[in-house]
Amino acid sequence: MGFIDNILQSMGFDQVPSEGYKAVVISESAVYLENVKGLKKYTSDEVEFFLKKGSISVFGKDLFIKKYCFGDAVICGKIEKLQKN
Amino acid sequence: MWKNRKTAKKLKNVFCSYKICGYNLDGLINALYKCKIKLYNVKKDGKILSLTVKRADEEKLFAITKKLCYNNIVKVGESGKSLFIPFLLRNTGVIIGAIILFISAIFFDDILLDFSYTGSGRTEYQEIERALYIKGVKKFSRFSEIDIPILEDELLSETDSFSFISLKKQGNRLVIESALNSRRQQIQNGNAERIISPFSGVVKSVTVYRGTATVVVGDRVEKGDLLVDGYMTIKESITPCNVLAVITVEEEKKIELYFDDFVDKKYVGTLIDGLYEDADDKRIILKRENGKYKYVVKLYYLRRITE
Repeated sequence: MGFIDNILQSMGFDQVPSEGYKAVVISESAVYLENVKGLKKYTSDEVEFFLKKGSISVFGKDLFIKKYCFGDAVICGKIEKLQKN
Repeated sequence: MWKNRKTAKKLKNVFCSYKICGYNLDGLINALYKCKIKLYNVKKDGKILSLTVKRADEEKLFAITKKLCYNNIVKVGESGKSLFIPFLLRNTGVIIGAIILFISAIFFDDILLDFSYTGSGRTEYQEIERALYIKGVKKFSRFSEIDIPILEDELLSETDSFSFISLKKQGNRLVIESALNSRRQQIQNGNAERIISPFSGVVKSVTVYRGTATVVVGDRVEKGDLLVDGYMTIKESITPCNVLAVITVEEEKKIELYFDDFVDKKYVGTLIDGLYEDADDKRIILKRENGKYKYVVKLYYLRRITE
């Protein structure tokens, strides 16, 4: 179990369904997404991923996908906004 | 591409970067993702997509892009911790050279190439040299076969002239630091009024404790020449005194040998070594005279004059 999972558990969020997405913004430089289902849109200003229900968009500048595999994605660049659609 | 696929699969930590040109690059990313290919550093610049995949996924990438008609794929480079393995496989000559260099460095570091004498006992280096030769320590001996502390003790016990001998390995050189035995120096009686050279030769060392030296190192002296005079200059007055000094003179002897046929200098040297064992050094000059081969052998003896 990771550090964030520990925090979530201690705050009583351990009942979140396993298929639910998770998004962690690290400063303004990276976003870590869990349980994404596919890439919907990718430009240098916006990256949008499919979720089980809906999608999630990351807005910013000079965005690129640092890592993308097995439902996890790390988006780097100058992060401006994270939006659930 | 890798000839040996098994080797390629073993290289888990090697990454390959590609640039792919085409339309619907988002679809390509999804296709790769669905095939469980781990994607790294995915960047899109117009129609060009640059990404990095593990070498193990390289075949999958090509298979998928071929199916989707992405023909313009350029490999940009490789990176990763395990990259040195393919480097080794590609550059076996470099590796063999490096191994040979490494082994030869170790091997040659173990070989004794020269002796160096320091300390007050260096004037008597021939004695140490002789003792070392008897012990089997000579040029091209191996340092690993020399037990330095034991050899120091043996040299000290088997030589008379030294009160201290220290051996030290310095690169390929054996540095021998020695100090002359003080008891041996006590044979100086200090009763002589002057020191006259009993030999002809070149002055190699001058140590005057009392008296005034009339020669310096490098001077050529003849038999009967005055070496140290029995007076001392104290301030501006000259005071007579007995002499207490040690002078080393290198005496030179010349021998001429004639041969009808040419003989290598090496063999002449061996012959001379057998006949004149006590000589400290020698020099052989070959001349042609009256149809014969003339070998002029100059023998050098270090003579110590102590009073």
